[in-house]
Amino acid sequence: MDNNATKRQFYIGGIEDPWTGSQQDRDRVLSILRGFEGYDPLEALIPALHELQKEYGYIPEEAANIISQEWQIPATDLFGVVTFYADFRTEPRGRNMLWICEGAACYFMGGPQLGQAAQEKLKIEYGETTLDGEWTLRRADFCYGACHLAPLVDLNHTVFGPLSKDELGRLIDNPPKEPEGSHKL
Amino acid sequence: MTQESNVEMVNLEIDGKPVRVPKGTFVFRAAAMAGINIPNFCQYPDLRPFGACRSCMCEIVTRRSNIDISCSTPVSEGMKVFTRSPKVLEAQRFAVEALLVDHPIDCPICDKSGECELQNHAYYTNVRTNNPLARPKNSWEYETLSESVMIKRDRCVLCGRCVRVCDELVGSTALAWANRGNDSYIDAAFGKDLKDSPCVSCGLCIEVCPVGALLNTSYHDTARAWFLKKVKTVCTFCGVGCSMELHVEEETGRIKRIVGTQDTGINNEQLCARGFFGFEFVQRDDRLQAPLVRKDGELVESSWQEALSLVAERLPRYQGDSFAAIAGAHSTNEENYLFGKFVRGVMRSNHIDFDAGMGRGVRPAGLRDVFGSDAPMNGFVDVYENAGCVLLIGSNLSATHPVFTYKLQTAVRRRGSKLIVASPQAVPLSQIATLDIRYREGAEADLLNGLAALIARRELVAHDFLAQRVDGLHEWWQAAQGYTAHGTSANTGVPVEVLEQAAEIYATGGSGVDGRGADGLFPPSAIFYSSALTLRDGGENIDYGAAALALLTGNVGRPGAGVNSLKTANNSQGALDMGCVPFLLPGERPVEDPESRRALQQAWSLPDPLPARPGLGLEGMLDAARSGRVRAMYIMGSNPVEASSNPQRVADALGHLDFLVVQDMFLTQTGRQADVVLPACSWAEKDGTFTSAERRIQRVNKALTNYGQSIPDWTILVHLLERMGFERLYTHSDQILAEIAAVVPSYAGINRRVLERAGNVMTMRPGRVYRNPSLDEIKRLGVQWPTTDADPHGTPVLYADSFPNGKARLVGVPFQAGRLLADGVYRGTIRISLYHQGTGTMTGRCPTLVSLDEGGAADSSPERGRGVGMLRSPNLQQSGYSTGQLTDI
Repeated sequence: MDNNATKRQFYIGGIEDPWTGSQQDRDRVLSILRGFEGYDPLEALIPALHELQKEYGYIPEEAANIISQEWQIPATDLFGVVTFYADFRTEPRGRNMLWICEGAACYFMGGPQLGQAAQEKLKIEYGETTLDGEWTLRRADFCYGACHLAPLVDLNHTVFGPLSKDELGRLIDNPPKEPEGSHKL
Repeated sequence: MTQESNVEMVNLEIDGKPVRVPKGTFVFRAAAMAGINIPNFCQYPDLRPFGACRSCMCEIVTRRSNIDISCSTPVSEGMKVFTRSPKVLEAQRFAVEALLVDHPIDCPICDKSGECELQNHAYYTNVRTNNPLARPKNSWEYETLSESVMIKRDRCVLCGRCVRVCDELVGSTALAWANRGNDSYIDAAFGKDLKDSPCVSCGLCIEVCPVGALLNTSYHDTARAWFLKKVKTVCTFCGVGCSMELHVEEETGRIKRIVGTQDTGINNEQLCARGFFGFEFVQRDDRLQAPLVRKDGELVESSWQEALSLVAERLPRYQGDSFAAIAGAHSTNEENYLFGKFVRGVMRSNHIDFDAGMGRGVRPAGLRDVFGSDAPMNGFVDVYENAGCVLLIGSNLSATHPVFTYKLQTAVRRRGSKLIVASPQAVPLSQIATLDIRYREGAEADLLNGLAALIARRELVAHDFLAQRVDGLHEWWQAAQGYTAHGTSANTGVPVEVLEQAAEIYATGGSGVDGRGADGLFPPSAIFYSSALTLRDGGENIDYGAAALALLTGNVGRPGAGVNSLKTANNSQGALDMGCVPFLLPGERPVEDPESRRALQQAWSLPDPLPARPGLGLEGMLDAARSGRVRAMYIMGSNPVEASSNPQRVADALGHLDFLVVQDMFLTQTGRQADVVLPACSWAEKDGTFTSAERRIQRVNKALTNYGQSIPDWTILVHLLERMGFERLYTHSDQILAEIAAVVPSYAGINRRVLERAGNVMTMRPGRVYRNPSLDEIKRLGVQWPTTDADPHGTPVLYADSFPNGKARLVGVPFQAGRLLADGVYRGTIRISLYHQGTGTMTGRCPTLVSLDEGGAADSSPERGRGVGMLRSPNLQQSGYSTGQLTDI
């Protein structure tokens, strides 16, 4: 496992993989797990994965294996959980994560057109990351439960809406550092 | 179905048929018992209900009528179920249609075609039209998950049987669900190769797949299901003795695959990698086609007449002590019996042995001193169903007896049995062990004797049992009291508190010190280890320690208990029973006993008495060959050269012989030393019986025609005896079996019909009340010796009433501080493979197993295949990871 650390400086599209597989990384995972001491591993799993993802932007496989060993949860179960929830990712992502909502309300209020505009502007398709590693674009086929803001987008866990194509363009040109969206998740 | 009276029964009506089943049964199962088939995918009898596929919908009327899934609806009193009403058919058809929306109809090129459950359900539910939901189908290419498993994901119906059997029944958790909803698919964790996962390549996922999604790489695109002839038989590898079906293509007469079958045998559909993929050796081109005879120093092909005449002419010169013989641990009982008769009766020698593991012969086991026999006392199923605690010591049964460990993990996880795994290294079962003990290599005897002393000190003993049935308690204590907790701890390297804990769990059957039942006994505890563990010097001390543990706690002669020293090869137990041991006659009677010899002489109608002195074991024979005392040898289905840790030395000893006959399927290194090599049939080409490590006698059935000019081992012996001037007594192996039943007391009364009646017990299944099956029920599984003429189904639990010698005799082992630290003989632990067995003569010729073991692509070269068995891990042949004293033989 350790020898993987050297061979992947860059992963996809110029995104630097924040997970290097070093001892430091491993310790970081262990310290996250220590935060859940006293809890049933199955209860703590999803919050722990959230923390891990906050740290690395995705769930590194080796980190998942550490959880699997420490908490005696089969790696297959972990894999199932990570792939089941749309928010967990198994690959590194761009520095900004942009979800375009295409849930029912947003769909009718122009979500697909927003998506089209975002894809044209960033020159990537849904699910992809820009070559400079800045943006990852994804389509939300679920509902944010904020349909009064439709059509909305989710930038780095902050919801913006209702947006026009131009407004979305400006948002992409100038992503707020500490975003003050219409609705913080 | 007969049921015990203490189980609450429920009456219901299925399609107008009155049905009576135990409370807790699911409607689906109840219908199956009544012979009514309901379409299903995710339902699998041994798994917890899942309710994913919705295709088993029935109209279930209790207080109101309801369409519900029958696989997870428990029966209730007065329930009425309709499985074929118009409403139900409509619902079932819709479920199948919905599955067909995404299922590619590529049946013509699908391996599963003809035995596909989706195909069948579509047929029976009368699907005629395209579903209105139809949409463009997803398409996935064939992908390989590992060398043995392929997947075609678009065919998957997402029933999850594979994921669930892997988790629940095998305990591997190698397969996972990925994604969600429409995008779900089956994969290994993080999309990796299955070989990097806990996968054991047992093939159960392939077997339970209702459609052609999970595929067997070796079967893929090789045969159509409807041209396969199915022959029930028993596995030829390890001592578990799994039932299996050989699928032989009728046209070509070749085995295409092996599957386990539901409700058959002790394994109940489960097999291991060896059983599932290990048949390719049977049809390898390097099988011996014809007899070979050494002419001018070269082995050349000859005719049977020539080869047999030569053997028949040469052998009589070596009658008596200059003749030695090695029987086969993979040969049938009939063959080993006839071989023993030939060696003792005709060649008048007691030098007969077989490879008991590690290339070593059988040692007089310590268990024989204590109990009168070293046979395992309790069977696999009995322990699986009844044991409160199982103690595994020093053995990696996951590799030597895989299917038993699959069952064991189910017992631990489902029934809550306690499991103590004591081993110098981590073994797969350590992960689920209640108590995982790591001791210093070679310290098994100290550990067991120390635990026994601890139990005696803590008064966790079964006083009545000891008083009534055990001798030598006082002498034992004289020797054993030297084992203090601290002394044991120092010798074994196990902390004192762990020892205390282990003693308590074992002695109380995992129930704690207050857990004594109404009869004053704790729940039963069983001990298991591989008999290869005791083959080294001082190995009998392990037996004594295990026996003391069991006797002190009364864990002998009752269900779920016992000391079970498992023989490794599929018929090692049978070879021992048939007297292929220097010191025992057939039926475990000592050679020194004049009465037994006389009985045998009479049964075999011999003019002269049998030789009275115990013969030489395998090591002794080779020494004698080197010194010239043994001048001729006959080796049947055994390969001592490659089995040894020092092949050169064995080959050298065989080179000293005047005359060597080898009977085998392949030209092994041993065969290359021979003067005459006789081609023998594989297990798939002959009839006979095997006796598994739990004393279970099972029938092997001929599935193939003989390869080349090869003939079964017993036929070769019959022909040879005929040429040596004896009357031809047998024309079928059943006639030998009849003689065994008459001559070997522990096999009394068995015959083909009794053996073929064996079924399965169906207990400890979800949807049924968990209860411990009675011994009578376990008996229905088949035949475990000792049998009697009156009761040919035998005895699932030995020594329930008495011991062969009246009472058991405890044997103490004096404590010796620092025993192990002093002598440095315990070198290294032996890695064994999940995929190879023994010398690799058979498994090394199965490309799938070779590639699984090697981690590389399959290589069809037999030399290389065997190389895996031999060269890459020189001690593979130990066929049991166990600590061993690696001395030369």
